[in-house]
Amino acid sequence: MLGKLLKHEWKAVWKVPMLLFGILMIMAVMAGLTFSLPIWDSEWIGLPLSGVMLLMMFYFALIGVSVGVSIYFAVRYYRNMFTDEGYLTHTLPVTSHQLLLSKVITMCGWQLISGIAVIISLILFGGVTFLSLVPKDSSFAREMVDFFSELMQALPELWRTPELRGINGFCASIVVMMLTGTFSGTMTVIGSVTLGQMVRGHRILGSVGAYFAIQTIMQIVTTLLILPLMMMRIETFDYYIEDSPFYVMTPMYFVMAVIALAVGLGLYFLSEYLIRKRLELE
Amino acid sequence: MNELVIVNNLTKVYEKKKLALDHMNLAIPRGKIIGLLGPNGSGKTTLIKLINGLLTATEGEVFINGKKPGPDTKAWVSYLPERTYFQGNMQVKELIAYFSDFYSDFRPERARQMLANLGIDENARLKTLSKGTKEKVQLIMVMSREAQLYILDEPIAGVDPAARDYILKTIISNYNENATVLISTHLISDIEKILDEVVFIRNGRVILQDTVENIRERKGKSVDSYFREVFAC
Repeated sequence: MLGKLLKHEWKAVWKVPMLLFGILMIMAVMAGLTFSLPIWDSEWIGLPLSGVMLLMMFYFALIGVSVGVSIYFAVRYYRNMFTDEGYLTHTLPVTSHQLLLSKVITMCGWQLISGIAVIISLILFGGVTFLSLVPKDSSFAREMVDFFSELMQALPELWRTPELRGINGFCASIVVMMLTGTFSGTMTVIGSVTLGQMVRGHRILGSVGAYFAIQTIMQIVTTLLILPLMMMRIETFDYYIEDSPFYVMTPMYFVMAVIALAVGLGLYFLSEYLIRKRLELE
Repeated sequence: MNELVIVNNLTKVYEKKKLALDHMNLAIPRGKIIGLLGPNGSGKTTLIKLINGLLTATEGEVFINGKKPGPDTKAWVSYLPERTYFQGNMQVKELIAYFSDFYSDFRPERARQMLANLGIDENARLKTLSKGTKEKVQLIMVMSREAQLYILDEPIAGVDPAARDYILKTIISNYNENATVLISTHLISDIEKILDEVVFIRNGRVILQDTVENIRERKGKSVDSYFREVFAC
């Protein structure tokens, strides 16, 4: 049944995030193209100002996509589970775990996709800007290509330098932190909306309040756990030997990942319990 | 065991101490069309929601085929709520696919036939349909299942008399004879002719459960008239 739930969930949600990503890509190209326009040297302030406006719009689109996807899924989760649509959702012959997992997996998936979309849009913006700034007849482009190919060849050597010792572990910690962060971010949204339903009569307000409460508690706990660890590692860090900065950062990121995972799992089981044992559809 | 649904000492208290069901006991037999009748606020919808697992009981239990509401019972119960539960951007044919995927007892051909009878386009998006048509689509989906228990909450409220006839005809011609149909309504005169039994509810308690035949014989009046007498303000 989980497979069927996922199939219908993905089918129902793909259009809105894809539309947002489409807008983001168009904004990236438009913002990059402003550099090929002869507006920056114009004496009339309106022209360079409009270029700046386009760049700012791209910046806001970058933020808007991440925030927009989260808000879209929060609203969908609320409507699908706790409003009229819930009358169908909760009469399907599926368990509360299957129901919740279908929402969590879909939302996590789209959060990761939106992260990838943001990276692609930045590359697109960089590429278009580069092509816009480089004169067509110069050898600059060729030189840049050569530079990057040399850099790629030198990278394995660079990777083994004492200053970058532990970079593999650091990269792994970043990936783990991104994945657990996506999970805990998703569960914070889902957990807040579910907890908000316990505030009968003020369910939306309850959800918003729960979101800020969870965020605050998470920040305090993370700081309390991270600070002593960071201080301990900094004290034993020897600048004059070959220790790299990853000595401090990698364990810190792993601890943050563990906290994010624990918070995510805690909120998952709490949400599942509330859906199974405390459901009250109006 | 002839009882399909057993309600034991069921109590539901909403916030602000509003008592909706008061230690209710009820046994619903198999193979009958039963009217769940009572004035506004008597607890009909609360009882229905508890049978469907959409509310949490304050006290007491509900059993369907011997099981508490859960994934198993939801596979046996076909429920028509008093509100429209569709996602507006879905097409009617997507709804058929949705029901086919989740309910093994759903008969898509039956649904398509009923939609064609009413001239409802399968490609239409639900948000483009009128309120009455949406209600008909919802009823068609619910009645296209071969469920053991159909629970219809106010199926004829808010629709025109011609649509009422169609809905009642749909209910009678589509339910499995071994199944039970539980219909909650105020519009007793319209459905009286199809009912086998009635359950009167007042203030969250069952005050009468009897066959329509017995009421007519013993009281010498229709269920509608008797209801008016019992619930006279």
